[in-house]
Amino acid sequence: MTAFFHSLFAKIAGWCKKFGQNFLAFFRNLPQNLKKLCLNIGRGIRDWFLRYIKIFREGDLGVRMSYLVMGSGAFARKQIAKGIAYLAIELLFIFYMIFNGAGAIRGFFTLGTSFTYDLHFVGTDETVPVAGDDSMLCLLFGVVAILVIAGFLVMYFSNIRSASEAYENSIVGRKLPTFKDDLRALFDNKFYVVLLFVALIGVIAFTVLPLIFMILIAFTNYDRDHTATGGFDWVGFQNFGSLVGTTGLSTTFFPVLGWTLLWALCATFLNYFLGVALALLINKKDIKGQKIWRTFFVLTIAIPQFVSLLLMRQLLGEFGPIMELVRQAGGNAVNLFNNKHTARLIVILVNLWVGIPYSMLITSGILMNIPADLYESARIDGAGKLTMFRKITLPYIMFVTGPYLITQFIGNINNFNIIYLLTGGGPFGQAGLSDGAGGTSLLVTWLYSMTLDSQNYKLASTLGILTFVVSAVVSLLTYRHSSASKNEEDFQ
Amino acid sequence: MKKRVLKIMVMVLAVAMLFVFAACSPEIIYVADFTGEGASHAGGNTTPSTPSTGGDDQPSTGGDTNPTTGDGGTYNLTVWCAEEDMEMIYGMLESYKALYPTNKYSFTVQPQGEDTVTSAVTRDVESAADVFSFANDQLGLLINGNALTQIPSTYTAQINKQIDVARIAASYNNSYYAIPYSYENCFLYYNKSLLTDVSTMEKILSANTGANFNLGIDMNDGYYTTMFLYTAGVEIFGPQGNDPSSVDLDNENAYKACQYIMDLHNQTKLVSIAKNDQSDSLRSGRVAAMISGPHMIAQFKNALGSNFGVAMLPSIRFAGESKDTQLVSFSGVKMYGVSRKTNRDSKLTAEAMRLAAYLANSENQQIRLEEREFCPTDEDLFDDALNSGIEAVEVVVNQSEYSKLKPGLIQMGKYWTPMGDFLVGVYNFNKPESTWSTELKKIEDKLKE
Repeated sequence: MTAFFHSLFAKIAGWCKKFGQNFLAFFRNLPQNLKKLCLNIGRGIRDWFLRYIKIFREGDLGVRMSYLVMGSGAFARKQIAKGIAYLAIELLFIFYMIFNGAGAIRGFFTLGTSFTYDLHFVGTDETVPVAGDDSMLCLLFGVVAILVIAGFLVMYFSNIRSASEAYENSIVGRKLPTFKDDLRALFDNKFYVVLLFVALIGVIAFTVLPLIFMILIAFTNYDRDHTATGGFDWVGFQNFGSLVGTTGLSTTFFPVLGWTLLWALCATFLNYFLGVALALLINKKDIKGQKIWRTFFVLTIAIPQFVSLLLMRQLLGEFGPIMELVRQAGGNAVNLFNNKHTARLIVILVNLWVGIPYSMLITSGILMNIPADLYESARIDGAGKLTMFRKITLPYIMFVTGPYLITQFIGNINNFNIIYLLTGGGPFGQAGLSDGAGGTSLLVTWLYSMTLDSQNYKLASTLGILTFVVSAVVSLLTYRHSSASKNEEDFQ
Repeated sequence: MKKRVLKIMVMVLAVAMLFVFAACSPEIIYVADFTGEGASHAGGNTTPSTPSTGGDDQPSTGGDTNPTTGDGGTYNLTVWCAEEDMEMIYGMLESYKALYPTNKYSFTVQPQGEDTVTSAVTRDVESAADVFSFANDQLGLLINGNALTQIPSTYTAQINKQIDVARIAASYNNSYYAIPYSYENCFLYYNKSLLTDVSTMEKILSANTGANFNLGIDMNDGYYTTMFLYTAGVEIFGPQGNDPSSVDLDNENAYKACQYIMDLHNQTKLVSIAKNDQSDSLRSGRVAAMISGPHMIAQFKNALGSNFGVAMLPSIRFAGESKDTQLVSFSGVKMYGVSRKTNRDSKLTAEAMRLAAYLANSENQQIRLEEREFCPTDEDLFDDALNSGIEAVEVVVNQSEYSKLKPGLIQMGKYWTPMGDFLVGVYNFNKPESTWSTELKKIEDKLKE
C-alpha cells in the first residue's frame, strides 16, 4: 500500500515538475519564438508585395489597369459580367467611403468630437436639447468601417489575381471560363464557397464584430463617469496597468486570480479523482445493484443546477436547517458564509456534490470498455490489483479524459453559477480586496459586479481579456503535453 | 396503449396551457396601453404628432396654478412608475385630462421599478418614457447620462413650496432637474407581540423576547452601516450631502462609529441578515425587530400581520459616552423627471413637464398619502402628516429630524461598494483598528478623484 502511495506521489510530483518545466520553458522560449514569428510575418509580407509587383510588371495593360480600376482585367479578357461585378464593388466602396466610411473612420479615432448640449434661449430659461455624437456608436461604426475596408481589400486583391490568371491563360491559349461557368462552378465543385459565405457573414456580424468591439472597450475609459452620450476616449493600456501594475487594483486582482486558479484546481481534480473512485467502486464485480447506485448519483444531474445550489445556500445559511439543529442542540450558530475560509470550503464541497456524478458517469463508460483480457494477462503475469490499476486502468482513463480535464479546468475558471448562486462572491470586506471583490469572488463574478453594480465597463472588459489570456495559456500548455495530443496514434 | 398515453399527455398539456394563460392574463391587462376617450390614436405608442397650429399660444401654467382649457393639441406621452402605483396613476391621468378638455391626450403607463429606471433611461433615452418617477440618489447618474431635462422656472414656485430636503434633492449645480412628491425614511420594524420598548438599542438587545435574535440589520449593505457614521457625526459630501468637494472620512468620529460597529459583532442578540431573508425571519419569529428601508414595509406588514409595529430608529450609546444618541437614518425623496430627448417636439416636452408637475402637485401628494401612505413633501401637507393618524407616515416625519438625505451626486457611485465592504469588514473583524485610517483615506481619495 505504501509503495503505491509512494509511486503515486512520485508520479504527481513528476507531473508537477514537468508542468513547471514546460511553464518555464514556455516563457524562456517566448522571446525566441516571438522573434521567429515576427521574422515569418515579415517574410510573408515581403513575399506578398513581391508577388503583386511581379504581377504588375509581367501583366499587360488590362492587368495593370486592374490595380486602379477593378475589373479592367476581366473586361480586357471579355469577361463582362465579372468585370461589372468588380467595378460595382469598387464604386460601391467609394460611395460608402465618401458618404459614411470616412466619417466613421475619423469617428473611430476621435470617438466623437461634439457631444449633446442644451440650447438656451436668451431671456427665457427654456432649453432645447441638441443631439451630438455618441462614443459607443462612433466605436461601433468605426469597427464596421474597418471590416468593410478589410472586405474590400480582399476583393481588390482577388480582382488582381483573377486578372493575372486570365492573362496567363490567354497567353497559353486556354479557354477562359465564362461568367456562366463561374456561376455553375459555385454550385458544383466550389459549392463550399457558397455554403461558407453565409456562415462567414454570420460569424463576422455576430461573433467577430461584437468581439472586436468588446475588446476595444478595454482600451477606453468607458464607465459610469464617461458615458456614451457624454463621450469616452481612448486611454491605451491604462486599464491593464491599473489591474496588474503596482498601484491601483493589483492588490485585489492578484488575490482574486490566485483564488480563481486554486478553486479551478481543487474543483477540477477533486471532482475528477473522486468521480473515478466512485466509478471504480460501483463497477466492482461483487457490488450488488450497480444500476441503482448509478441512478442514485445521476439523480443530482436531473435537478437543475441552480435549484440545488440555491437549496444548498438555504441549507447551510444562518437560518437554514443545519444551523437550526445546532441551535436546538444548544450550540452557537454561525454564518458559515461570513468567514472567507469556511465559505471557500463550502463552495468546493458543494461543487463536489454537483460535479462528481458527471465524472463518475464518464469514467464508468470508459471502465466498461477496457478489454478484460488485458487484466487477465496481467493477472497471469502476477500483477497485483494496484499494479493493474496503475498500469492499465489509470492510463486508459487519463488518455480518454485528458482533454475533458482541460475543458473542466477552463470551465471552472469561469464557473460563474456556483460562486454567484452560493455566496455571491462574498464575504465582502476582506483585507486587501476592494472594488466589489469578496473572499470567494472569481475573476468572472468580479467582472459581473463591475459591469452591473458599478458600471465600470472599461475594467470589466480588461478583466475579460485577462481571464481569456489565463485560460488560453493554461489550456495550451496542458493540452500540448497531454498524452491524448502527443500520442494520438497510440490508442488501442 | 400508446393512444392512451398520448391522450393523457394532451390533457396534461392542455391543463398546463390553461394555467399559463391564467397566470399571464392579469399582466396583460396591466401592461395594456391606457388610451383615454379624448385620444385620437388607437395605440398610445405611435410617434408624437405635432400639435395643430391654428390654436393661439396659451401660456403654459404650472400644475397647481390656473388651469386653462388647453390649446387643442394632440399629445402622446409615456409615463413610467412603480408597478404598485399604476392604478393610482391612471386615476391621476384621468383628472389631468379633465383639466384640459380641448386637448387630445394619449397616455401609456408602463411599470418600471425605481431601482431599475435609471439604467433603463440612460441606456437609450430616446426610447425611454417622457415622464418617469425615480429616487433622488439617481439624480447625478441621470444628469451625467444626459437623460434629464432641466425644470423651467415656470415650476420653481411649486418646488419652492416643498420641504427643504426635497428642494435639495431636486437640485443639481443650482438648477432644478426634477419635481419631488414623496419623502421616505428608514424604519425600525418590530414584532409587537415580542417587543414593547424599542426606544434604545440597549433595551432592544437586552429584552427577553424568546426569539433567536432581537434585531436584524443587513450589515453587508453600506446603506445601513453608514447610519452609524452619520450618528457619530461624520458628514458625507458636506452637511447637506450635495458638496462634492467636501470629503472628510478619516477622522475621530468615523473611528467612533467603526468601534461601535465592531462592538455590535459581540452582541449575541443582533444578527446581520440579508434583505431576502428578512421577511421570512420576521414571520417565523426568529428575529423580533429589523432595521430596514421603506421599500420593505408592504412585505413586513404581510409577514407580521396584526403584530406589525413600526417606530423611529432606536438611540445608541457609543463606547465611553454617558448619553444616548438618536440613530440617524438615510432619507430619500421620490421625484418626477422629464427625459431629455433630442428628437421630441419642444411643445411635447413642455406638455410632459406640465404633466410631471401635475403628478407631483399637492392634491396628488394627498391622494398618495391616503391611498399608499406616502409621506408628502409639500410643506403644509408634511406638517399635517404628523397628525394624519397613519403610523408609518408619522414615524417618517418624526425621524426626519434625525436623517440625512441620500446624496444624489454622481460621486456617490464610488461610495457604496468601498464603504459597505469596509464597514462589513470591520463588523466581521476583518479590518482591525490599525487599518481604519488607511482604509478610510483610500475611500476618501477615491471620492475625490
